Amino acid sequence: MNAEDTRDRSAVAEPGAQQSTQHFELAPERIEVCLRVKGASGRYELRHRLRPPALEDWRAYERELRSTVEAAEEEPDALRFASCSLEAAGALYNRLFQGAEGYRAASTNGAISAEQIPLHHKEMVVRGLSDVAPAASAAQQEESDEVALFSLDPEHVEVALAASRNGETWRNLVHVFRPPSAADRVEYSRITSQALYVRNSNTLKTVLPSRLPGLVALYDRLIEQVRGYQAAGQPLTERAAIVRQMDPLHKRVAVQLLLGD
Amino acid sequence: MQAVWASQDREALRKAIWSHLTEPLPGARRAKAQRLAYAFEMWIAHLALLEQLLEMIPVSAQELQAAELDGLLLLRAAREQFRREYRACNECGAAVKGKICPRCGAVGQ
Repeated sequence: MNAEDTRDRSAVAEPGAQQSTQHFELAPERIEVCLRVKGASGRYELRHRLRPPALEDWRAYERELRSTVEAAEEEPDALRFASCSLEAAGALYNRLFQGAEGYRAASTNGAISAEQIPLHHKEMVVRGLSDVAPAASAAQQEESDEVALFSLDPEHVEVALAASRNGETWRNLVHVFRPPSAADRVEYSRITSQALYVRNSNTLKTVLPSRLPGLVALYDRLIEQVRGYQAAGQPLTERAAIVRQMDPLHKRVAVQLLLGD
Repeated sequence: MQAVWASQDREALRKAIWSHLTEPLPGARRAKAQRLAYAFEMWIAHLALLEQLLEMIPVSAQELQAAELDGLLLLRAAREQFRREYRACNECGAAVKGKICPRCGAVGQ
């Protein structure tokens, strides 16, 4: 790692994100993530071109995270969560990489390969890809100028997400579900309660498996409509299209918001 | 070292459920029982949810997984053993095995 690399930890993906007036596109041909980085020689604008990740890419990412929970040795009552986030992000980035600009490499005539990108840049890019969360808290919503419609429909339950991509944010991505049954609640508990323990581990090590496939399947069972999304420029109106096109990470956060504690 | 599903290892789950039931309450005087691996804590919490659900709603056997049925049977057996071996403290209500309450120190019969 050179001197510049050690000084660019303040990098952020597109600071000062603008709220988008468009729908969130679920089927982009490619994704561009821009990192603005300060280093020893000045400011850099590092553009990364990636193919959109599919469910299988995120499944592999979660496997490579190797998330574990152990008793903290210095404080036995505390739990220590750990994962290989850098390595997993690096592997995902390498699978999705299509090109990068803003880097200079004398030996490659300007063509940059994924292997040349610093690992922590890859990690920042992947963080930018997975930036989705429950929509603003109630206090933040009160400050917002946007007015939502009060639902009079007892047949549906809505949850709202916020996401950002490439400097734009979407604050009202709405997922409309049929009301979950007791069986759905049990299924959610089943998915989120399964884990492996390591026999004869002094620290009572637990290995957390990927929850993504199970949560995605549960989402697909419950979802009815969405608002704020489009695929190839067209709004998502059909349930089958939502199931097919919706970003797996959005599915996961939405179903956690619906059924989580 | 070998990693095993907490829900599938019957003997380890049986010990974990017993440890969970007999874990001293906060404020207990004796040393804390050995911690459970997080995997068991999560699975036992799931079994407890199922147990509560079964008290309210009839659930067909087809809706339960084999590991869940095994876990529920282990939980029930552990509760019965607990009721045989422990009593409630006359002073504070904590579970007591023997004469001295581990929480309040009251001496019972």
